[in-house]
Amino acid sequence: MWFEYLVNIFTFPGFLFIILIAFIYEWVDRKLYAAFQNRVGPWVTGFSGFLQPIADFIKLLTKEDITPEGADTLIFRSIPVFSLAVALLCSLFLPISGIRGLVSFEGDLIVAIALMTLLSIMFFYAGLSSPSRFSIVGAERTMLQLLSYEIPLMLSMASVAVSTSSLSIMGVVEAQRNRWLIIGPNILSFIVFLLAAQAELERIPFDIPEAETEIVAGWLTEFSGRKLALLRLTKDVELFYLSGLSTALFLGGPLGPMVPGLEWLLHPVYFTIKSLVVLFLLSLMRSIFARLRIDEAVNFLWKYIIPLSVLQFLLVRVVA
Amino acid sequence: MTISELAGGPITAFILSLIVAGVLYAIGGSIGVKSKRSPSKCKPYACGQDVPAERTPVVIWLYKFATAFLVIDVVAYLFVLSMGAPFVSPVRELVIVYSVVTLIALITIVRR
Repeated sequence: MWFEYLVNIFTFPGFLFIILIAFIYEWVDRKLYAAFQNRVGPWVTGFSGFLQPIADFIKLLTKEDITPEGADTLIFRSIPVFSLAVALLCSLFLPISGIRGLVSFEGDLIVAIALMTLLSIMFFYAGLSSPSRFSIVGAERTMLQLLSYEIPLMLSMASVAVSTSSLSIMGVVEAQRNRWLIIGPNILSFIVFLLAAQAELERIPFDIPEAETEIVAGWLTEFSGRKLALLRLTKDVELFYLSGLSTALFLGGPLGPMVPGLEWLLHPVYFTIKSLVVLFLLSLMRSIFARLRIDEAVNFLWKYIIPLSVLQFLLVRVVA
Repeated sequence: MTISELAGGPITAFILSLIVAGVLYAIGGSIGVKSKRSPSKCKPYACGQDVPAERTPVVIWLYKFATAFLVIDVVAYLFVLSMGAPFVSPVRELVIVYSVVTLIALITIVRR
């Protein structure tokens, strides 16, 4: 049992698969973003730039690793490792190779939310431990944004839990065997979830904590070498995690028309196709908007998205 | 909890993912370029200006306020919506814990 578990967790639905697919998702995202802007995007390394994220990662790993003077050394050095570990742990909850994720228990929906919040708080600490003023401004913006998108995110996931009367991702997927949750009143929660996911990932229009034209790179400014490599990998894994989570919660996860005997292949294929659709939506959102200012973002999230999420929760509660 | 039960659990998974992240970090440390540290290299980024490396204190009263709002508003809202639900045993303890947390949050706001 242990041998099989270790093989699973290190290779197929586990770490190797997650890291590779996270790189692929970054490539798809960059290609789509470039296509929307009439650019070519990455195209040198590998077929049509397919290996570019991996090449970037290896290049960053071989660069010199500098800890600036005045930094809080312990936090500054441990944040990249811990944030990557938390992002990888999040992705293990996803039902990739079947209805059941690699790590699955009753109540893992709550743990999924908590780990996402923990990731944002880690980024806050990463900025806070740097000696640069750009990092501190970025960290403050991360926290302000966290406080704004946290409530809609929680409420959209709560409405999913209410309408399937289950608190585990496995139960939510199981309840969608006949009808996906996006068909029905939960379409509103899907929209809210996508907006909150975009804010969580710190991408345009919510890339205020990393706005490079204003504050260099936000909380990432002082990170270099292997630390930057791990943090960028964390971002990619988070992108895969959030598109996979919305797939599992709203689009039926790995379910679809099945051929007997081919479940081991069809489950991951369906999951990947559906989450690529979500990734397409996220990239589209990233390319058709411009960056909001921090006060505009907080205003928008508190004045419009939170009432919208309250409304969708009431709607789901009344209908369900 | 026996050893075989730990296999699918989140704690084992977290330790293993920590090991993976640590191994990647260590690989970066072993193949990364090592060169001499110079004082200008260790300065924080400031476009060539001479900005001292110091960590400015962060104003946190807003976060206190917002956290209190989170606690008071959202949880109360969820409680109101679960009014009709059957009154199972953990709800009573939850209500007590929630009232205590709300009281602390209110005291924090009033004292500010």
